[in-house]
Amino acid sequence: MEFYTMLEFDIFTKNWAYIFMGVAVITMLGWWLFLTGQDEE
Amino acid sequence: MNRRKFLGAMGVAGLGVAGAEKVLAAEDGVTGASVKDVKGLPDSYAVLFDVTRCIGCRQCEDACNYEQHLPEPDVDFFDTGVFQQIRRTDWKTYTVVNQYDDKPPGAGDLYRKIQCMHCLEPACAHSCFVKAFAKRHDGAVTYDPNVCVGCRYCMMACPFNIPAYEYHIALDPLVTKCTFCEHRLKDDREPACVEICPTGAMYFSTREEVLKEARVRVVNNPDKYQSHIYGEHEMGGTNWIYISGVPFEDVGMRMDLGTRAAGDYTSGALGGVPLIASFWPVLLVGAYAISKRREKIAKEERDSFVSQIIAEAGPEAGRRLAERLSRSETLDKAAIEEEVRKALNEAAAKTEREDH
Amino acid sequence: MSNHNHHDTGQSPWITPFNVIAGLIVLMGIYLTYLRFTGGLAAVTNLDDYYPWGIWISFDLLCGVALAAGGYTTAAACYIFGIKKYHAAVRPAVLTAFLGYALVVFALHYDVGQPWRLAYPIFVQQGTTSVLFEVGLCVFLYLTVLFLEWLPAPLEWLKLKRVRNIVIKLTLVLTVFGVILSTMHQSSLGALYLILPSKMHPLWFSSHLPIYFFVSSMFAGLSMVIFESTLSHRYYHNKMDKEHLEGTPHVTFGFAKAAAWIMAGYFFIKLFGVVLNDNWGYLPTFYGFIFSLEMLGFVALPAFLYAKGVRDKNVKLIKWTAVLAVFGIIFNRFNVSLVAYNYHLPSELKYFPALAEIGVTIFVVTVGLILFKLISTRMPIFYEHPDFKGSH
Ligand code: SF4
Ligand code: SF4
Ligand code: SF4
Repeated sequence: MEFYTMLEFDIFTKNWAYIFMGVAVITMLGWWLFLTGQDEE
Repeated sequence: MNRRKFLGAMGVAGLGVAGAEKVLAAEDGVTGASVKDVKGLPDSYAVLFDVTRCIGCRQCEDACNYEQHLPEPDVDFFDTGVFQQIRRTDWKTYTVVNQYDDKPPGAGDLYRKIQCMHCLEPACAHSCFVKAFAKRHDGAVTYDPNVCVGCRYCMMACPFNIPAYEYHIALDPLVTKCTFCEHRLKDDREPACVEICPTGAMYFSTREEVLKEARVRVVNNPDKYQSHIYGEHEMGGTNWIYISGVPFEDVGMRMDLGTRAAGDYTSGALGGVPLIASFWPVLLVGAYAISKRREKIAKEERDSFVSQIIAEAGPEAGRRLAERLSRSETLDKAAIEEEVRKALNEAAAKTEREDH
Repeated sequence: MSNHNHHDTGQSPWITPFNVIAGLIVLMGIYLTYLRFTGGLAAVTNLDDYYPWGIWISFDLLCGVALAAGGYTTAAACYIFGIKKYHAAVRPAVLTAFLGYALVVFALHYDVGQPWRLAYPIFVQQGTTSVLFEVGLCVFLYLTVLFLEWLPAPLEWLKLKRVRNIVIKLTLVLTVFGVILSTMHQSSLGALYLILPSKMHPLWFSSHLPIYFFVSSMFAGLSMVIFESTLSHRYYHNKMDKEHLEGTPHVTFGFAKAAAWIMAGYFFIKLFGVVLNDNWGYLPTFYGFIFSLEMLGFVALPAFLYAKGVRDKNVKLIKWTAVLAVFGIIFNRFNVSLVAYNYHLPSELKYFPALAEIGVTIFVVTVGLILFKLISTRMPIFYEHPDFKGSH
């Protein structure tokens, strides 16, 4: 990517940051269920 | 900085500009040179405002009003009475000329024009939560009225107090500010206010050229000008640049803004947000797992305790004890121990009675 | 416990002082709403180009969100840290938080210029570089979370057992998500002011502002829960079941202890704001006086009084301290958003709220009280529904 201003850089990086935040939260939830899926009781 | 040191610095800076192929902003560290790839906008349009040349005729205000189709002013543009007060931009004024000396209104010789500075890294754009503001590559900071919610955070954020609001409009008020005559920039024409100025107080060119011109004027007339080019670095740099013969504070310009772009101040906090989103689950669910485990161990201990009592004191006492224990989830440990002691005593008494 | 179903049937008359006063305030609110949406913000507020944010932001948004923090603190204490003693406090706290956030959003409809665009940042064009975007997104998501956390109460009331049991299963996920979102937006409310360093008085401006706001929201929430339980015990005592009544002292002492402890930490991180920025020189000024008053009178003092109340088992002292602490939070948010903001402007350019502006805020708070009353007198808030006892 080419950025002419910090603003453009921030917009680009923050957009992805928000998308990956969603990914992180959902993955963590699934991961916990997977991790504890075989626990007794 | 004394004058000699300043001249030395100027020489170096001048060389830097002359030899600069690319970036002005990014190279001189203003826009955070640490970030790769940020090129800066040296070819964007800019205006140099020379405070020593402004005579306070207010023709730029008039031209702006006409060019931008703004409402009739409260006071005529040739009325010098307005100089009695320091004015600011508002919803029907995108630019204002103020007088900063003690002479009678209109008779002074210290004036400065105010309008949007068209920051290189605009606080208004960085703060808008619908991206209504954009920094165009031609230098203009523009506003999109079709998405603006009217939260007015941009007005909070602007370090120069430029954006104004149509508070009097009931249903579709908008933020207003100087557009840099964006429609004229598109045709490579200078803004209306610059064009009309009878004294040439404003010089319109690319930002690189404007800075060069500012340096030339300041360096060639060291006794006339302050050794500072306002807007070169302020808040990350602006596309409207000022030079002045008197200290900038004396014409109402703050010298304490610093060189960091506004967005730079929030990047730390905003950078922490993804950390919270990804690491808080680890800590919170971890705490949950620990408390769950502690609960489980306590329950196991209790159960084995109860079965021990059943063994020792008979099923009836054990059943009652277990029942009470399960109901006493909300009570604390002391209460539970109390219950247990009572049950034990009862059981003991009972066996004693049976023995007799 | 046995008579909660036949409250206000017949015996409570319509004309009560609460109803009369609330009714008058609502009438006033409707009139002010009319003024606002026919005459614009200028018709009801003293806002101007130097002060785009007035008390609707200072009180309705900043204080509203901070004081609704009881929702996440109580839920976290009970469900994440496993302190079951606080269970009875969760429902009232969640209800308050839900109403609190709903009213924050309601109040914003008066404040923003074009309220029908309030969802634009989420659905139309995302200004991801803006702290306000983060606040907006989190408030939107957290309001949804709070709604789901509160949902079991109306579902039990409507006897929709199946749906209710599904929602109950989500409790832990919702609680964790709620704490994440609360951490993010409580701190971001402070971060809103980071972008305007040149307009903020140095005593209140610090790169740690988001941390100050988050940490203070914790004891704001705790204090608010204590304060509220005082009020609800006065008015709803007969609606409370044994668990609630027995749990209350645990909540009062436990929360007071936690608040005192957190406030001590908060005192010191605020102190480091002075140390790290070398702000000592400002202390002997007017702003320094306000700052010291906030630190000593509204942080150190309530922290000490909480501690004393806990040590002496003095419920009454704790309750009054909660009031003091709540005022302290309001004082702090006003200091940041109105006293420190634009400190360099000459006094004739400063802002003072218009009567109508205060009126709208009172109206919003009153709507909250009415809704709380309507809901908590009908739905299982202060007691467990007999059909669902012990099942969560
Ligand atoms: S001067 Fe203010 S309104 Fe103009 S670009 Fe800079 S931050 Fe935006
Ligand atoms: S008032 Fe409009 S332009 Fe300004 S920050 Fe809010 S949405 Fe953006
Ligand atoms: S650039 Fe255009 S909009 Fe801005 S002050 Fe000049 S005439 Fe007005």
